[in-house]
Amino acid sequence: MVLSELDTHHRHPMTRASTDLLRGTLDLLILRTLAPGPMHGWGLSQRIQQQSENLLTVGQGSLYPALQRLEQQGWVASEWRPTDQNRPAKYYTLTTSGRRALAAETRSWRAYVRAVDLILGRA
Amino acid sequence: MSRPRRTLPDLLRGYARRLAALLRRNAADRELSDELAFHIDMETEQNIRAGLDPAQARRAAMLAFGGVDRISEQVRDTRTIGWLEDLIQDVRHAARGFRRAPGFTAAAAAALTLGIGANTAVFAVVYAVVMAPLPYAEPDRLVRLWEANPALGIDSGAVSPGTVADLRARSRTLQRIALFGERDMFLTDAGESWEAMAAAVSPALFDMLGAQPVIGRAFPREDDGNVSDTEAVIGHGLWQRRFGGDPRVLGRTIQMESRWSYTIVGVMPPGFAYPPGTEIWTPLAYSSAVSNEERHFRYYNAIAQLRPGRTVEQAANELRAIAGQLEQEHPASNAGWTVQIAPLDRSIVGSARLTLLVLFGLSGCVLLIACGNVATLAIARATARQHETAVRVALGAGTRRLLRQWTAEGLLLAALGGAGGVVAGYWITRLLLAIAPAGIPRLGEVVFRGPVLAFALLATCLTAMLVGLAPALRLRTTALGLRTRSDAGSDGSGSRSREWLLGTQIALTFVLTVAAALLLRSFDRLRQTELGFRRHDVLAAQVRVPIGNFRAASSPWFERLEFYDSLIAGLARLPGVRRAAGTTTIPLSGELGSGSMWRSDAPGAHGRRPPQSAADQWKAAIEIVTQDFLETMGIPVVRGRTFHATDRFTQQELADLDDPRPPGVAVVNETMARRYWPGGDPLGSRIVLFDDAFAGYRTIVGVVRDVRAESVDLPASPTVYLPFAQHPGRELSLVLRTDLPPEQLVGAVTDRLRSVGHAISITSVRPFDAVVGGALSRPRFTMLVVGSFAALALVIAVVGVFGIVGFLVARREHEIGIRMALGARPASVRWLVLRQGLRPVLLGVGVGGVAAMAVARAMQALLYGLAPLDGTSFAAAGLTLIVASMVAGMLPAHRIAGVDLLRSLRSE
Repeated sequence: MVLSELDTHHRHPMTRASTDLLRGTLDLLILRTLAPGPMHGWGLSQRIQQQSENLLTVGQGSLYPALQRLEQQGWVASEWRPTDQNRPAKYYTLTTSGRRALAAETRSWRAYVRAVDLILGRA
Repeated sequence: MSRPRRTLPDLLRGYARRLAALLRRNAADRELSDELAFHIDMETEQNIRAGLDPAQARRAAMLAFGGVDRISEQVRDTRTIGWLEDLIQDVRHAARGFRRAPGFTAAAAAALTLGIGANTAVFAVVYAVVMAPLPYAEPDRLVRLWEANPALGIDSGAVSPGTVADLRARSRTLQRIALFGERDMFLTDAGESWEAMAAAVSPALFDMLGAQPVIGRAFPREDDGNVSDTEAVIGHGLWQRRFGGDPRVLGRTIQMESRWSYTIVGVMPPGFAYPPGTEIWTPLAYSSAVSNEERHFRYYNAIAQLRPGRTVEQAANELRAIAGQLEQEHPASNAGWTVQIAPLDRSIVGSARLTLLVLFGLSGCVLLIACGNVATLAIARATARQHETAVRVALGAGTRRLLRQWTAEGLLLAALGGAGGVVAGYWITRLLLAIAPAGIPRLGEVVFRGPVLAFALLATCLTAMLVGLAPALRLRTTALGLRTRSDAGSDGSGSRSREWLLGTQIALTFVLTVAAALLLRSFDRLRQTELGFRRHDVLAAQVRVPIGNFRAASSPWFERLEFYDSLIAGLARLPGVRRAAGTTTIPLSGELGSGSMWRSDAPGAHGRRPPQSAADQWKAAIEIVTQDFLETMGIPVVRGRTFHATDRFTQQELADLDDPRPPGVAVVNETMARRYWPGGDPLGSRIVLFDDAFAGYRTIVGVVRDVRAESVDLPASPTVYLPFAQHPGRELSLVLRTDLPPEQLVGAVTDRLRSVGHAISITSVRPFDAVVGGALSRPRFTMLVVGSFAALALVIAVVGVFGIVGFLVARREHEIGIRMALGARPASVRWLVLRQGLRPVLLGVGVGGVAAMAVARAMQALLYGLAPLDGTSFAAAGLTLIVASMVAGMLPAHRIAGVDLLRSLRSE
């Protein structure tokens, strides 16, 4: 499963129809990845890549606008903090409403996957 | 329209960009580039750990990242998306729609501009005159105080020092009372003379109003017992104008009436002028020991301050009770008299209040009509776009989104109207101020900012709601019904709401038209009112020749009498002048002096002592005139005679003013004769005037016709005419009966007056018709403004009718085509459509008629010689509206004749 169009949709207008779905997916992934604790943008992209066993690569062109959007929605909050190597980095934290959103999005994602699975399985 | 078409959305967009840029450039942008730099650094380090050399590692990281600028731009886009972006989109969509319908846009924007502009302008005036708090400390605690005598028809008369002394001693609701008397004064400083409004005031007045001099001091309080009546405080304007703002003005001496010297001790702050218009104040000292004479003599104005927490009503009740006690205690002076109070702001604004509030209400009607009109047009557009809307709804466009778009149209139109309205309002305000009649107070305080702009904004928001709401409601039904066929002809709800809106507009227009018709007819009546004298070919000159000019040791009065005799004789000899005369008050140019008097044989009256009963003390206007005045003005004698050359006191008689004084003569008007000699004959009766310094008593030698000397709309008051030759106690103004048109003589008369060799100031020289015009300026102003409103409303409403009939024709085009193919005559089809279009007009006239009756009653006090439910006015207004609507409806209905059957069927 190659989700590099996460990064490329704006260059290929034809894939635009799937953007909303994918964007929603990316939001879900970000929220889930932030659930254990605060993280900066680079860390997030690394973590998503690792956790998906390198199946998903989140392009920066999607990641940072997504973070911006989530912050505007109030689902994540950001703060500048020093890293372990004592360099300033912008850390993102899940807010309470972000947690609620994560729960809701996870449920609907599961339902969606199950529905698609059922259909695929039947076919 | 071509330029703004492109630039408006661009402007808005550019503005939003700039706004967003402002917000983000500093903090957010720097933060973003830091964040992205951090990302690349981390990536680089990872690459180094993977074995690349630092330069390669960095290049690889950059490549993987894929363009910092592009990503920054994407993040920025995310950031600006939100309500602002949506709004811009909606507004652009709306603007695009308007561009496709420039006629609609121009008409709607113009209607709203005029509506909002008219309202804002009237509000600017109403706010300054009626609503803005007075510029005094605690204006809510200030009241005016009057003595009133219902039996004599006096509802707000001057007060006597005696009554005020008693009120001061007994009232628990009033903190303090200040007295004042004002008059136009002739001032002289360093050889220059000018006129200014002067007021003698209780020293407490300044404290009460919370005003202190900016330099120098005010007057010591009267209880300090050392009020010097040769001190004066001047206004800031006078200080700047006459003394160049020089602080050394303190200690300077100026002369009043060429006679009394005053030392300037203080200068009041800018803008302070109470009583209104006052530029110089002198102290009014009074002793607390009140003589009985001071109870009789009501000549002061009074202003009072309520104790904190007391209401006007409480004070009014208490003062009435005290007045009741005074009636018991001093029946000779106080029987029949009571005390009235009113908030100071009301008393300052006076009768202008009703005029302005009526104008405000009617201007509101204009705006509502404009809103209704635009809403009607918008619904027409909505109906035309029903198909598009239905398709969009079917394709999944959210109702909310569409709703917002519709509202954006209303918002944009209202914004256009509001922006135009502020500009139009500014100019209409200036126009109003330019044509405003004299006598509306506080007009100088009209400013076009703050609350006025807030009002314009409010009016704009209200307009946006009204204009946006109608099509939005309309959309709701469309969206729910999911119509996809363009069968507008079968849709009833759209045309019904249009009819309702048009009916409402017509109703409001009818109210305005009736108001205008009433005021027009009332003004016409006023203009044609019989004044009681011949108003044409008269020249009126208001002049001041202060008594200080006459210093003859023996008698300044005789000297003054001779001065006016020769002045008038000189004027009468000017070519083109037939007669000349003098009078204390030129009719219709100001307040008449009034005084009390009684029959010399009234019970208890003796010599100059007044009768016991207050009912025997009469109030009447007193006019002191020269021998020829009645003939010059053309005031006919009804009985007896006018004044003769022999009705004249000698120099000796005028010099010796001690009792016994010689007997004089007087002439009364018909109203005086009727009121005080009911069924009897006043000729030969003797009357004593309370403050007559010259005659012991006066025998009535004639009765003359009533004239409207105070106001065109008021019947004559009881009036006594005294011959100046027997009462040279006042200054005179001059009237001339001319053979030439009076305006041609203005120059010659002015020159003549300037050459008299005395300190004289010429206030005005003008044809008497101009004096009458001035007296009618308020009703003319009201009529003009309301008339313009009505004309505007009529145009808007008629455009509405035009629109609705045109719409009906378009909508029923192929039905009409079929009817005509089946043999219907064009005339009958035309009538069919017209009838449908005119139904809301008739409905509106009916409903409007009821509303107009209420409005007419409310403005009754502005009407003269008309019942508020004047049939002619109502009929004329209704007829105008219906005929105008029919003509407007006829134009589109005529298109029916051109309906082409084939074309209309082909369009199916």
